[in-house]
Amino acid sequence: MTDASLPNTGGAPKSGSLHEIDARTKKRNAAEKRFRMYGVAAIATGIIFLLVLLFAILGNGLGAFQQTFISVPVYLDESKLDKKGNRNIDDIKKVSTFGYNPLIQKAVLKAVVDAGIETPLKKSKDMKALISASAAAQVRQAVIDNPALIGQTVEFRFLASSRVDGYLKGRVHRELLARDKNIDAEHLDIVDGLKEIGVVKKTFNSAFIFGADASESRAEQAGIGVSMIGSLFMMLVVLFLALPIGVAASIYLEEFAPKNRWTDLIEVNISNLAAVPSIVFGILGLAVFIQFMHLPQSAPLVGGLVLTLMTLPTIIISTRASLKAVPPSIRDAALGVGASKMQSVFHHVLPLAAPGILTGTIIGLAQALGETAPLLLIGMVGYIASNPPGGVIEGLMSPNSAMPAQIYEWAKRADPAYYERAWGGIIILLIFLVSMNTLAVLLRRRFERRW
Amino acid sequence: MNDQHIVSAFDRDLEGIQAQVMKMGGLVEAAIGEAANAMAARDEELAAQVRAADKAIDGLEELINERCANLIALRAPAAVDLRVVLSVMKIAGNLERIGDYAKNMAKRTSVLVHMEQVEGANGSLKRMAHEVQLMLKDVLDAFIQRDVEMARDVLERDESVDQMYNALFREFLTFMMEDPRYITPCMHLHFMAKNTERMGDHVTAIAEQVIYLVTGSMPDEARPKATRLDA
Amino acid sequence: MYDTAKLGTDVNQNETKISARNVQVYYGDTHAIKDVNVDIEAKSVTAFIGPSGCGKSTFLRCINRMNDTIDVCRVEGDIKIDGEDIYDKRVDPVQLRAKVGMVFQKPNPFPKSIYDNIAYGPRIHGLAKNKAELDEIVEKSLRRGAIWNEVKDRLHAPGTGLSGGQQQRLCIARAVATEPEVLLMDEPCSALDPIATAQVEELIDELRDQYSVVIVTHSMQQAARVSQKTAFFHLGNLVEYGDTSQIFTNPNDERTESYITGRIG
Repeated sequence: MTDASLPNTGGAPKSGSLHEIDARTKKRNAAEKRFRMYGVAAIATGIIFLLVLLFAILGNGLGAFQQTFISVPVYLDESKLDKKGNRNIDDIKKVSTFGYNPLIQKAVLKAVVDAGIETPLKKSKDMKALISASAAAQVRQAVIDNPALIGQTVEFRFLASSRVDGYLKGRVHRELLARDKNIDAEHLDIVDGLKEIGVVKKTFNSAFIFGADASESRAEQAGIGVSMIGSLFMMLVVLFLALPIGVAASIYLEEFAPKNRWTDLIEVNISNLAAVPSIVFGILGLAVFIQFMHLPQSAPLVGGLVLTLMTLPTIIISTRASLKAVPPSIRDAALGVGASKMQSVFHHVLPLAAPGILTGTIIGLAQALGETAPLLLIGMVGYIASNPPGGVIEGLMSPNSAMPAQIYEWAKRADPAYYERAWGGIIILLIFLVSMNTLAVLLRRRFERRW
Repeated sequence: MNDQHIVSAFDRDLEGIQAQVMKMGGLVEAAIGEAANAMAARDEELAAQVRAADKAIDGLEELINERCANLIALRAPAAVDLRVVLSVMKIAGNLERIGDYAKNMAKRTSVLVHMEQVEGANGSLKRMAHEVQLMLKDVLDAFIQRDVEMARDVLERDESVDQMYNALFREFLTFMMEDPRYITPCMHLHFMAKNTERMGDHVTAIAEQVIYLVTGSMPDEARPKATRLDA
Repeated sequence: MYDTAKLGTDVNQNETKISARNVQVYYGDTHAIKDVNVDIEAKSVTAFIGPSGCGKSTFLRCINRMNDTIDVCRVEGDIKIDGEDIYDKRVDPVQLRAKVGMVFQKPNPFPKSIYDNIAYGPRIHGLAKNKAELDEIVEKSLRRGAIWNEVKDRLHAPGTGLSGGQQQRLCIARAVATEPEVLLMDEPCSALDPIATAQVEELIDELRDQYSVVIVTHSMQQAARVSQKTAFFHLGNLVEYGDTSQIFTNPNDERTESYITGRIG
């Protein structure tokens, strides 16, 4: 009361005005300003790199989504295709693609002549360089599907050869033709002429997204679709194995396991596994799944198993982190009203950790989706699946490739047309990754609750 | 319990109110002595001083009560601290009553000086007042030293005060029966003796507070009572 | 002036609900609770007070075996509820915790609706045969928790959307919903403002007619306000146990006195 409050005797009064900034404060402010500048500079550098990368990818890869086509009417000569004239399907099948090539070349030449293009190339064989090698197979398939077409003149839309395609996209230049055995300047003149009348046309190329890979010499035909299915099946395997195993392991380790030397050891090893180079998982997969268990080579099932091994640590670590993030008060609350340990985990902790678990899983999947190295060792790189698989079993067990492996394969090939496709493949892969990450962010936003 | 409070301001508050009680006790002690002296010496001036001094005692009581109220409200005292505050309030109340009796003695002294002196009674009354004064001094010492034994001793000593009162009562009765002119002064003197006896009771109440303060419980054995008016 | 010794006998001597004998608790090598003996009365509020780390919360959590969830924690001695040893091998802690409800320091409603918060306990213990019965239990519990009037119009709103004091009363209602006989409260008001604290304290006083309430608190004033019996813990020892009025006016032990008067030592 009389002396309830001590007189403030300590602390000398501050000297100087608050309106003047002293040297020490100035120095500190300057240091803070500098640090902010470093930060801004670092972020700016990052953004510049990202933009450069994005422009490079888009600039190089967007071309793959367009393809040059040549539309010509082809006369399906009965004398060539069905010599006996009885439309017997077996006889028609005996005619190989070599039998179709002259018809197509003739049709193209006719189109050139009709367009009134002056050219020294008068023979139908000279037209070969314009058309994709796939054209003959395309016509043959159409005839086999419908033998009634024989004898008629049918309009076909053929893929232009990769050189023609490259010329229209600016990849093939006239100045460099001297070194190119596949195409001459005269061919390009024809292309220019045909382009004017609309016979040669650049359009959107759905075959790149949905089609299968093609041989080295037919870059114009190659698509990423089948390897996309391969990736899809692998991701299904990863999702259905890694998620339940990873979540179960995490729950056990986090909630039930006694804390002793063994669980510590397991924890350390899981963390270490996350840092193991993926190619090690590849060789493990090769040794265990293929050589020991005799699972088929190059199969998405094996790829999925290998990627599961690789993704598990990621999922376990992120799941444990999200379980840890659930406040212990929730567990106490559940135990306090008499829930069993398992009830408290499954009724309360897991639902609260779910957004984190899903996010971790999706990011793990995205990582697995982009993984190439382990696939090298189990033969999923370099295999060319020409047709999409017929069902789930076949999809899992029959050899296939995966998107990143396909891209790697394309990047290796000599034809510059494949270079473009590799970039195009990367765009598709990135679209997948970005959409998966977006999904992860959305899930987290949507379900994340405050407690 | 020599330990200090963690909040040292609490200690200062508690010490402050106890110092005020001691100060008040000192004033009351002086008032008893001076009232007795004024009565014995038939000193009207001294009696007037005693009457004037009572204002200071009342003021102190008010101050102590206020500070106790503050301390309860702000510090929420518990256990021994709570007992200190409670007993301080009670002690202050008792002291104030003793002060009033002293003042009343001084008042009667002012009347008595204008009357015939009752020979012999003054001395006994003065001795009795001094005994009470001594008891008060001791009980205040017991309070500040937290001395239960001394407080119990004071309790015992009240019996002698009561006996002195009984003796005086008979003496005054004799005087009045002998000579009716003595009735008025003797009545005054009897009231003064009664006042002094009451002071003794208040001192014992203080002693009980000291015992409660230290032990946490009131003394349970019945206080020795010799005040049997069997005349 | 009243006589504290006499006052002690005025509190009617209830039957003993929880009886602890020679209880020792070890956390690994640390001896956290040393030889605690205490008889907690039925239908009264018992407060555990003491400085931080004195073992009062640890002992509280022994009563519904919440310490089982801590691996390194070891409990010795007997704790009996209604004469039954709760550390007997035949006792399932899950069953025990339905009988001995607990309210925690921080209000911790499940991030679900108010209704589901209350209904959770009865559901897992199968206390309701149908929806109507469950509704009834929910309403009864919310009324018991003195929060029914505030939430009856928004039973399906999230429990986490309530204010701190309401959340804590919701948690008390949740604990009451499993029809416990003992309610343990671990500093239930430490996260609440004075008004909410007063409401919870009023509720605790009301709960006394039906349950044995054991409350751990850092606020001595709270212990003084709500409890009939107070136990003072110090360095793992139960130093003093007695009527609250006696503990707060005239404690027997010097350590208790030092603690409740705020002295050094």
